[in-house]
Amino acid sequence: MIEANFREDKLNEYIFKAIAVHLGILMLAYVANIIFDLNLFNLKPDENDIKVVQSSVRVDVVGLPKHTLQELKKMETHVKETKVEVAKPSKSNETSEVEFKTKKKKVNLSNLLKNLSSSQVKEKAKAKPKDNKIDKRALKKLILEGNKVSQGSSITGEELIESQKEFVRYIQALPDKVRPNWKLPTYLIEKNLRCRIRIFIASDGKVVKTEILESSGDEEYDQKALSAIKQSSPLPKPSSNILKEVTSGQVVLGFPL
Amino acid sequence: MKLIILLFMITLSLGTWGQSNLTVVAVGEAEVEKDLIGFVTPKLDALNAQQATQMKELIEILKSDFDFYRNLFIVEDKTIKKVSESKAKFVAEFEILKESDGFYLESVLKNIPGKVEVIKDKRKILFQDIRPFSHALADTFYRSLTGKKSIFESKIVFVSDRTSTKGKVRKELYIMDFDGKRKQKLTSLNSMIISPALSQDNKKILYSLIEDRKKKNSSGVGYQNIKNLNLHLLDLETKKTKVISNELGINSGAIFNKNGESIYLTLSRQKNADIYKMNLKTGAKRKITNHFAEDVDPHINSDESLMTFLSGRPGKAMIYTLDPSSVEKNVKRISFVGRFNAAPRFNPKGTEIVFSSWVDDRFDIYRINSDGRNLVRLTKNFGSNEEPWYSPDGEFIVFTSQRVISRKKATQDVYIMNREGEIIRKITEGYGKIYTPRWSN
Repeated sequence: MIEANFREDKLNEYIFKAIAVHLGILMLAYVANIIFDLNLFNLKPDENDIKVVQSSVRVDVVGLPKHTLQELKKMETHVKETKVEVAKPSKSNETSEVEFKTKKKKVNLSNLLKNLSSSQVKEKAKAKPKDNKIDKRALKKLILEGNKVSQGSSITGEELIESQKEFVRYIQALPDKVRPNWKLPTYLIEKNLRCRIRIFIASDGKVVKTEILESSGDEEYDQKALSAIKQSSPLPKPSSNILKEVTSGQVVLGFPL
Repeated sequence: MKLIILLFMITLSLGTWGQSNLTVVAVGEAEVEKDLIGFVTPKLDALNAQQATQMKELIEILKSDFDFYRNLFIVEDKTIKKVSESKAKFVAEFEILKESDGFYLESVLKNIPGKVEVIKDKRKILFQDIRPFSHALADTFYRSLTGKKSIFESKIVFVSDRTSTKGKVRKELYIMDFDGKRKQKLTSLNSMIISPALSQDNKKILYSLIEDRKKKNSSGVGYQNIKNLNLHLLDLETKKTKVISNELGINSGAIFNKNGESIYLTLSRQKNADIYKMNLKTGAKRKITNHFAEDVDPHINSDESLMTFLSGRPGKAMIYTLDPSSVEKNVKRISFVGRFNAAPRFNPKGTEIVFSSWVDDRFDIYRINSDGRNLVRLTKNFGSNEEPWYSPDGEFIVFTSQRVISRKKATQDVYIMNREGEIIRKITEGYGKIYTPRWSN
């Protein structure tokens, strides 16, 4: 019995010592993290943690572009004007399910490509995007690189669960809201800078906090990006399904990428 | 024991705290911020009626000049008599000062929101040359706002058939301001000038001229009269011309090299055309291309490290680039599409090539990166568009556009568009059919 008590006392002592040592290491690491900006606790997100929302289409173009640059710009403007809105939950429906609806015209990539195609242009779209939202950047690239027969790029994508899809749909609507306010003087455009800003969105869509995650190194550029966000607030209302993600600052806006 | 469990929980929570998932969504490229600019009409009391009219013209020229850069500025259209009437971000105010040797114009360009003087300028008014005077002032304003030289003092050299008669087509060389004003005739050769090119210092022009020449008959007995395309050089300062190359066949498509000591030209030497480099002092020529297909129409980038040209190597006219420091060095095909491509021209930085291509029974203008990427169409449903040439700042493209009026009649005028394909304006009208506009450097 005495031996057992002795062992338990010793065990407790060792455990306390071990925990104290570990906590000590943890505290040291925490202090070092603050002093040397080491990001040991992953408090600042690493590049690997950042998902970039984009899609790609494989296409081979073997003719001269049918549309002029000015026409393509007008098309892009038209797409911008087709706003994606968050529909208000119906009063009779007590669930907080939120749907995304296109207000004016259903726009999808196949429709747009149909308009763009000419008899000379052959397109090989191996897969279509999973939703109606168009990656205009990919589309622009597709059109602008219409000279030689290209290797194309493979289609990538992962199956997302419903709430993730809703989150992706929500954040894909944000550039259309922010871009009209995203303006730079030519001398800043020519510098080819990039900044990324983390935004915290309230349940009513207002941007309540911004945090420069990755500075461009040019204060004026960063300020212009912050100003674009400020002018664009309130953003579309997030549904309750994705409230946790948007309020906790999981959304990062890339200016331009 | 409870304490142990508590500490364990704290440790676990620290691990959870560290996890964070961020999703980046690309906003996209920013639009260019356009600034409203206004010009206050000065008080003209001290001037006579003619001088007052010229000063009003100055304001209109300033507005017209800045309107070219409509991707950067919006020109306030209304007449402004004082700064407070303007809603512009930048406002230019003028004062006419009478001094012993004539009138001076004092200008102040202000940044209104910042309450800052962008530039203050004082210069003697040259009433007899109010247009160049106004363009120079506009350039001063533009430089102070953007830090770059504008196109306002540049010129365009072109060929026109306006002196042709019913019996004979004559194509002479002319020069005009970038906005199409103050046209001047440079030659009176009563012949057919083609393909002019300006030197880097804008003081010399190369051009080809169709001339009569005697050629030995194939039998070896006697001569026959033939037409030969010879290369000439016009010195704009001395007004003197001289023959640079008159070998049998084509001596054409010439351009100056960077320092003006050599030229690149196309010679056929009665065989297939190839591109040569010729030293202007010694007359020595060396081959740049050496292929059984036709290679014509060379153009070089600003540091002369890259040449673009037109070649029939693939069976139809396509655009190529090469390193002109040697023969057939680093030849690269740039265009892979189009039934017939023509007139490839670099932008001043050498990053882009603009060219015309035959499509739907007419020529239209396209732009492509020098590496063959990003092909874009610039003109469409706008007549037949040819002979594109970049402005010295690379922001604009001058080109000719043909309109068929009837089976026997067509007009061909000069237009300017920006590099995004937005037509800025037509700069010639009723000045004969115009060919090969070349923007000064």
